[in-house]
Amino acid sequence: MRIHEGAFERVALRCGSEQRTYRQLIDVVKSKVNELDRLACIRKRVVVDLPDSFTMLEWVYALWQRENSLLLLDPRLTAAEKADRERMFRPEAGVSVQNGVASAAFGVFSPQVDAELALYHVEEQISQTESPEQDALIQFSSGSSGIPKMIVRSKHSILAELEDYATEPYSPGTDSMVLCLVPLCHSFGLLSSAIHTLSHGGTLVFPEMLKPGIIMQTIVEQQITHVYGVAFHYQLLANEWDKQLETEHRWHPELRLLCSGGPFPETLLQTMLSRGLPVGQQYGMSEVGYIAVQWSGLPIGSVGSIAKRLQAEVTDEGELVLALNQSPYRFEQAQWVPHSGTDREAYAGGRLFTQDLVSLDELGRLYIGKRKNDQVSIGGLKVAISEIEQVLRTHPQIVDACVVSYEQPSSGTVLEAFVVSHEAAELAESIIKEWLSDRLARYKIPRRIRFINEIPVSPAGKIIRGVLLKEYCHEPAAAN
Amino acid sequence: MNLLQQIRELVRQARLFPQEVEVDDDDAPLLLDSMSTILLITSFEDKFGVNIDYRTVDLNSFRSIRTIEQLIASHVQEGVR
Repeated sequence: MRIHEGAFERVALRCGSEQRTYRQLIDVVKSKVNELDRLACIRKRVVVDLPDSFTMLEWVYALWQRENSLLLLDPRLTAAEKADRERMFRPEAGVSVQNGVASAAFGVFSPQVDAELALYHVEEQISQTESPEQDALIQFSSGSSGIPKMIVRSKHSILAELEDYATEPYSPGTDSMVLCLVPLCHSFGLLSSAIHTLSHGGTLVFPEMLKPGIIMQTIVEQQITHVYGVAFHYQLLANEWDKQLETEHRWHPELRLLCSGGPFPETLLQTMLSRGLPVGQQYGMSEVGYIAVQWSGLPIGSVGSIAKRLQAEVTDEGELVLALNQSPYRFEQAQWVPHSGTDREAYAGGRLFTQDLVSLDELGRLYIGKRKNDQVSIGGLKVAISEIEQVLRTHPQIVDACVVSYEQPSSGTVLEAFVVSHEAAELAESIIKEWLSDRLARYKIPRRIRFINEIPVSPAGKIIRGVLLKEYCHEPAAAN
Repeated sequence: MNLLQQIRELVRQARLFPQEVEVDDDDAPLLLDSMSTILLITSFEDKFGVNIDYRTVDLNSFRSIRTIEQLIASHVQEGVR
């Protein structure tokens, strides 16, 4: 993962008045590589627990230069969730905030943080199946069993993704000013936005704060050409475009907005289009990175054509399946099916069932439908409903639990939990929420928790979520 | 409409909860996620002309409608001084 070397004096990173030129960035990364060499931190499993920052990006580059395998922890995770991931990853070293914790409810961007590298004492040997120099990036996604899925991205897979991304029409290039509003611990922010931009000589800009006025000021003053966000960010900016039109300062005439992490609210999309602001869509998953992207915003609803590096098919049921050379998971997962003898040539490694129901138009452009499993997207982050149910059921006073999701005009997907408890009279909704907040990141905590006598099930024993949705979420008179 | 009522109204209008849910307990924990908090801060800033820096503000101030009222009241007072 190289940093562009064609324009050393060009600004590589900027946040408010803080900035790094390409020369400065390369020098800082070199100094961190020296520190890694001094501690012999080479080809190790390294956990990075830093808030989004220039510092974090510098460490990522340095650690990859020494072929380390990285786990980037989302600052929004609870201590318990971080510990779960570390237990599975078994880090041999870590980079964390000096004298502090990186926990930040907002995922606040800080240009620079005091970070320290520490080697851990690990008695066990690296298993034969792991090769840190190849397993460049480790990520976790919400698992339906309640156990997060450990996803491994090889260096080769990331390089192939970046090579492909560079060929996408309108993707950021040498002169681009790229505003990154999304977290750097996920593929969309780290690879598509940051690493891609910095490998092509563009300037990567971060807002000083996630406030509508400040983001708009950044877009106009910095003459931003590309914005990476999720629907929430564009919702936040909804009223700012008209305010800006009342001034004499304009945004860049070729400004392009990109949204990932779920469908864009239709009403907001129409509002944006009426102001001449097309919102492109990107679709991807942690297992493979980006799958399709279209920056043009057209045709509406499409996420563009499937990336060239990916071999894809759509099942009769409409599910998108990707053929990959190797499993993206460290441990066995139902959605990965290794090849069998008969289709060995067609699928060298196996098939990844994305669990997304899709359709393709006559020009091969992809449209994403519903999820086949119980995952929903909350603010661009995938959440398995069953994970929340599993956690709720471990509460000593909860007998059973069910979580439903539904769409709301302004907030997008909303989660609501139904619990059965013999001690409901003493167990307040607020107590359960507090209890959950120690175990789940805030975005996974249901907005409302209702007490019911029993979870409705079909004769086959399947939970009938539709009954709960209909009777409780949308008919208040019927609620307990 | 007093400050508490105005805040209650803004929280309700923000549609952070299902539309039919009344925000009737001013002391109940809201347990807002980061996006909801940012959206709410934006509406408070627009409504009351205050400036709240979510990077430095005590997040406990967003525990309930009552604590939000205390936060806004202190910011409004600071603005008056």
